[in-house]
Amino acid sequence: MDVSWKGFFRRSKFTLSQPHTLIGILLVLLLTLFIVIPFLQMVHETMIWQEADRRISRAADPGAWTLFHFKRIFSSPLSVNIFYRPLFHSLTTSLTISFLAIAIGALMAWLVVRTDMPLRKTIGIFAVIPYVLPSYTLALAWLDFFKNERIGGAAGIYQYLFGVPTPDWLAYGFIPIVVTLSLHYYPFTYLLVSGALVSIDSHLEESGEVLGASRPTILRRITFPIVLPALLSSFILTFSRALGTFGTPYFLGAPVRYFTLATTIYSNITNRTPAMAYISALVLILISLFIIYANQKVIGSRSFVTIAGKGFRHRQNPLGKWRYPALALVLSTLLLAVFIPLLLLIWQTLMLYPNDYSLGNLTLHYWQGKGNPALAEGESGILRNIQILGAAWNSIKLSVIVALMTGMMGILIGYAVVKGRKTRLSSLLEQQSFLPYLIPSIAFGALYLSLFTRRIGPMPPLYGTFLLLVLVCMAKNLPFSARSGISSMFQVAGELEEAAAVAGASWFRRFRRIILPLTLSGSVSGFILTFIATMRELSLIILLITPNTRTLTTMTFRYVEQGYSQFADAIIVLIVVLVIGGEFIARGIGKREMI
Amino acid sequence: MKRNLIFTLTAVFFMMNIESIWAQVKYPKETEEWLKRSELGSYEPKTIDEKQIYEKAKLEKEVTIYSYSSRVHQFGKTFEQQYPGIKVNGFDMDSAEIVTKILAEQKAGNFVADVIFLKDPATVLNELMSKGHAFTYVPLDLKPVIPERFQKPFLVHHVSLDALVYNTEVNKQSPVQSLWDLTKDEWKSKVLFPDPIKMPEFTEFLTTFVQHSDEMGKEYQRVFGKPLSLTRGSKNAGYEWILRILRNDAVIAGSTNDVSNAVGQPGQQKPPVGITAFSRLRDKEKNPKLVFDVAYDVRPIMGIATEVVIVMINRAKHPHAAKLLIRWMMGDEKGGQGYKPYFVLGDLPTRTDQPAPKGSKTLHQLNVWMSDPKYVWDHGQEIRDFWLGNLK
Amino acid sequence: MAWIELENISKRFGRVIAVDHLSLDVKAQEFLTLLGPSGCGKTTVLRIIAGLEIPDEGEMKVRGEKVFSSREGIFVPPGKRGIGLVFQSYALWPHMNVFQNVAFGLQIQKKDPGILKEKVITALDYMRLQGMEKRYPQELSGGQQQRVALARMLVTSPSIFLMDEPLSNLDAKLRMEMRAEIKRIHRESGATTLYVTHDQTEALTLSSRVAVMDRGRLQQVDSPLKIYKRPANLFVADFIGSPTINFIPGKMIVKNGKPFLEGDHLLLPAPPMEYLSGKKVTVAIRPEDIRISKKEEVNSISGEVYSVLPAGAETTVQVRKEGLLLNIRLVEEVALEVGETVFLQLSKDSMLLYDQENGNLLFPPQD
Repeated sequence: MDVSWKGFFRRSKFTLSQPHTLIGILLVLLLTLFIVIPFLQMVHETMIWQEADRRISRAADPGAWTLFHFKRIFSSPLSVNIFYRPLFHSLTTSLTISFLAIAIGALMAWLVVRTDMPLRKTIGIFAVIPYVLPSYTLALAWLDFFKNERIGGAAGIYQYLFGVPTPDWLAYGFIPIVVTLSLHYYPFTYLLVSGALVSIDSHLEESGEVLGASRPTILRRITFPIVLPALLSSFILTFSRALGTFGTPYFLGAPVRYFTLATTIYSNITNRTPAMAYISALVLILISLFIIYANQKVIGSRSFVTIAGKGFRHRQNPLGKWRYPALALVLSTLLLAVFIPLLLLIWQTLMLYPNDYSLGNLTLHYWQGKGNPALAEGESGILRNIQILGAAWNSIKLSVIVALMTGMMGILIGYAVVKGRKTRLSSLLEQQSFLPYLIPSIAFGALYLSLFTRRIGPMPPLYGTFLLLVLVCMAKNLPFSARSGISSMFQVAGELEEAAAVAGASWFRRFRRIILPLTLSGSVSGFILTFIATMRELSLIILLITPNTRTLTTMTFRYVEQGYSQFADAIIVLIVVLVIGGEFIARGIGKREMI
Repeated sequence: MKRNLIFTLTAVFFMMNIESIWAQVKYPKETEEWLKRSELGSYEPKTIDEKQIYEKAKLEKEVTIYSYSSRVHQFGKTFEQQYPGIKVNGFDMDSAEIVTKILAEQKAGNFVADVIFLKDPATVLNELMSKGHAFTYVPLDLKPVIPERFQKPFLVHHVSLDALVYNTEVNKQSPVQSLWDLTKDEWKSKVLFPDPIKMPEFTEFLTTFVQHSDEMGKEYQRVFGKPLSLTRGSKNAGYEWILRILRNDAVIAGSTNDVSNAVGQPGQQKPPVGITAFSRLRDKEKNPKLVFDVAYDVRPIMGIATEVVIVMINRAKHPHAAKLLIRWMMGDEKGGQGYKPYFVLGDLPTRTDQPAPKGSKTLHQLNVWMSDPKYVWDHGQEIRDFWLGNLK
Repeated sequence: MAWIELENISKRFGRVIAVDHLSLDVKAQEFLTLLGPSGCGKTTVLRIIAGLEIPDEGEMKVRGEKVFSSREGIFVPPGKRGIGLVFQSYALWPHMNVFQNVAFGLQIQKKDPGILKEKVITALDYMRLQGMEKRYPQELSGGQQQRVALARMLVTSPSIFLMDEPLSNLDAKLRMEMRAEIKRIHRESGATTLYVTHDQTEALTLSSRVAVMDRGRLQQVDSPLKIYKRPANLFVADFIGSPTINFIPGKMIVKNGKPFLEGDHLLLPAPPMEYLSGKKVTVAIRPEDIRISKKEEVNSISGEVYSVLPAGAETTVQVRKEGLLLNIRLVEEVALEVGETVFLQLSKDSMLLYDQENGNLLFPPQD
């Protein structure tokens, strides 16, 4: 082996001239700037005094090192209320939500993809909707039904029907949070597991059948282990999202003082004392890392089931007498998670005065009314409201651009990681692209706010630009698209690409004609999920938007706070329509149906 | 009479403290140049010439205002009618958000906002003005009709009150006579309280009670017939009141709107009471079915008043248009249209030449304590910590 | 001038040395097979020749021109080496139909569409795929996919054919057919073919020369016959031949002036290697070179029948003697029973002697 310096340089020259290495290096640099540096900044800020700390402590010396924040969070008289108890609540709710969501999502995926349940195609389309609706819609519906006198107002429907007030533990706190968020988050599992189930060759199950295994045994010993990686990935996804959610847990928990760590994070950031928020975020990150580590131990290094490029035969499992009961179960879930909240939402947009559900109170004012100063400060109905329409355009622009670019990045990362498999560059890239999973959105947004309000090298301050919103949304969605990019690339970036290389195709040509077409169909579900996620994005961008870059969700937030529920709800309906429309278009373009 | 005295003394006390903060600050070069161009601060001309300002403003073509209140769209429209050629970009967002954005914009050198209109005087003073990010502007011709204390250190547009509300369907008059009643068993779990952690502006509310702990102590004595004994960890009567409210299972609400809706819904048998923004009385116009009112005669105090301020942003791109807008917002020389959206029940104008809005009383007629920005800045966090520490 | 010259090529993957200082010359128009067990590095060598792997060290020339030199920093990419490659998995692009798959290489070369179409049709006809142009790979049988892969390789008329275990996914009958097909293609095209397989029958039937590899190193490069008859070391001897060659370890002794192998409870007359007296050797003898008799004969070894495996035209009998299990191949029918005592005659003219320590062939001597 030529171990001289010259040899090293020459080998490096060869390695560097490989397209995937160049791409890999470029990506690593980009990700360092937009992901790793914000993360390091976060850690840094926990350890120095901030400007706003002057309010909290006389000893504050902005810029200097301190352990003050750590002491305050972990070992002060406040710690139980601002950290330990909320942490406990966060963990118990998130874990329970994850398990429930996986159960619901996996069952639904199996029923839709692998059985002969009636109406399954239609159900498949609606199955993802719960994630599109903001979770507080479900929360609102829950309270409408279960609330008691504690928060005043009219009695909940349950109390109205049965004359008995609901107990506090049913109306507020742990149970409603878990139920509503499980119904909200199961679509992640649904998408991932159905993708995995679609790619299983039924021969695998048939060989079990031939050997005399009963159906439950086949499910347990053959299907389940193959689907396990997808299940575990959904667990991580759901768990980390649930941990970082602020809105619904607050809404359902505050009346009984059931707070989660997300509240601590949220309030500290809006109060401009982010250090406390960052420490909490770091704790959540550590917990997530631990879960992921446990995940790796269970299934080894491959944590995603590969999505096949060949067509597999699918045989449906006949359900026999369970066909209609299964359908009933699924429909009732969808009823709870989708139709009732949606109906409620639409009804509320038509109510002239809030909280009055009678027919006499219906109006189209909030949709197309000109603007009556007595109502909602004179703002026009949303279809005429320039501000809202402008925000809608921003939302669509942002979501489409982010979904496309994140998908592209995911493919490039997949390429660099898979082709450079086993090199340090490849593992570094893989780990970097994973990091944003772990950082709660509001913290991430706050970091971008503090980092990008100044020049970095030749780059001007990005604050206030649309570009910054695109970048932060891309960074947040990168983990998912990188994972799906990597797994689809496993199929393609091997011999299929080499055959083209041997035929003389340049790198660009290979990428364009072989890699891209083949990985694109696997990316459709990633595109949809990113599109939906960005349309709904709130906490990530709320600190970064400026008046010109407002999105629908940020406007909704404002309207809700002010009590103009009709506007807020109408905007949500608009979002839902846009998302469903986007989903259909995306499916049409992608060649393969994931569901 | 006695109330007015207390009120005035409080205001004077508060004003004196503010002056010391408003010391001479040195500004960087660009800011000085901007002040000169915009004719602000020491460069302000001795007389005001509306037409001249309008000419300069027309060249600027537009003005951007961040407002905590969504009524900005209303006075924005009327401004545009009055001064054609100048567009108003009004954006409404939380006070906390406004501050965050201003700080970011100043740091990035990306000056979007020209004027801000918000309800967080302590922060405006200590984080914005003291750092040279914001400057006050009081239209010269309005100075005579605005009390001095509402001009310095910043221009106060109106005063916002937080007060106790009760359901009028069930109660002909307020069921609560003293704020200490809220700590009694009969009101257990029946008091709705806005979350000061989620809504930082309620820090003002709590802090002022601590500031007036002597009066709180006296009121306790009056109601219970014996002196107040403090729980361990509670420094004075103000803190004690907060503690007992919490221990009496006050229900925490996420927004003032939630409170007024909860209290004001008809058809309740045992409706709660709640602390909310006085301006929520306006909700009754939006929804005639709501049945609640403010408890005007609650002792020792009916409510806490917080100033809503207007300031100009350092290096704003449209300073002259901004000046015109501010003047318009204050109701210009005629007390006119620009102020109209706030001439409603629940908001108290600072101009002395305006009557109280219909159904309301003037600031001077109401028994309120003014919140003190300096006190809030110095002690607010301590009180929030007290709240946090006693949540369970 | 050799068509392909590899000089001192080494390639490492992490800690594993896949190719270890390998030098090989491939003659023009020959059919050279790289043969060896899994992990021996044969596929890596093929990929290096294709340009899909970059060696850590060494030089490579094609048609006299350097396409790779670690010293001089030369690397010619795969598309420019004039090679054609068939993968084990065929690597047909699933999103393109048969025509597009085959046409791809010509499109890169920017052939005129009329000529392109003609060449593709010709290639498809040649591989007996007429009428399949519009089908997609997923719709074809394994054999058809294979032929498409071959057509794709042929259509650009490369001077070097590289094939990586192309037949391993086919059933036995198809494999026999395709072997003949590949040989025909090789002959009719006049190309230099480099073929990788672990199947020795394939290697021996197809090739003009076979290169046996083990753990990154060449063990022997020779004609199939020579490989079979004169394996250069114990590894090659063991690898080649089905049923496997018989190994009898022992020590050379001289008795009554004649050389013998003294093994475990046996004494065998050995070829004239008296000068090796005392040396530890292993005798290797092919199954077809052992005779079985029910009667004891002079210098025969006794043993017990362990198994009888008839297979159509021939029968393999396994006989156990102490710790040895010997394979014997018989062409005629035998009436032998398991457990029966038999006597084996090992002809010393058919014996190969290997040095037990380094595995190299001692007798007959290398020339």
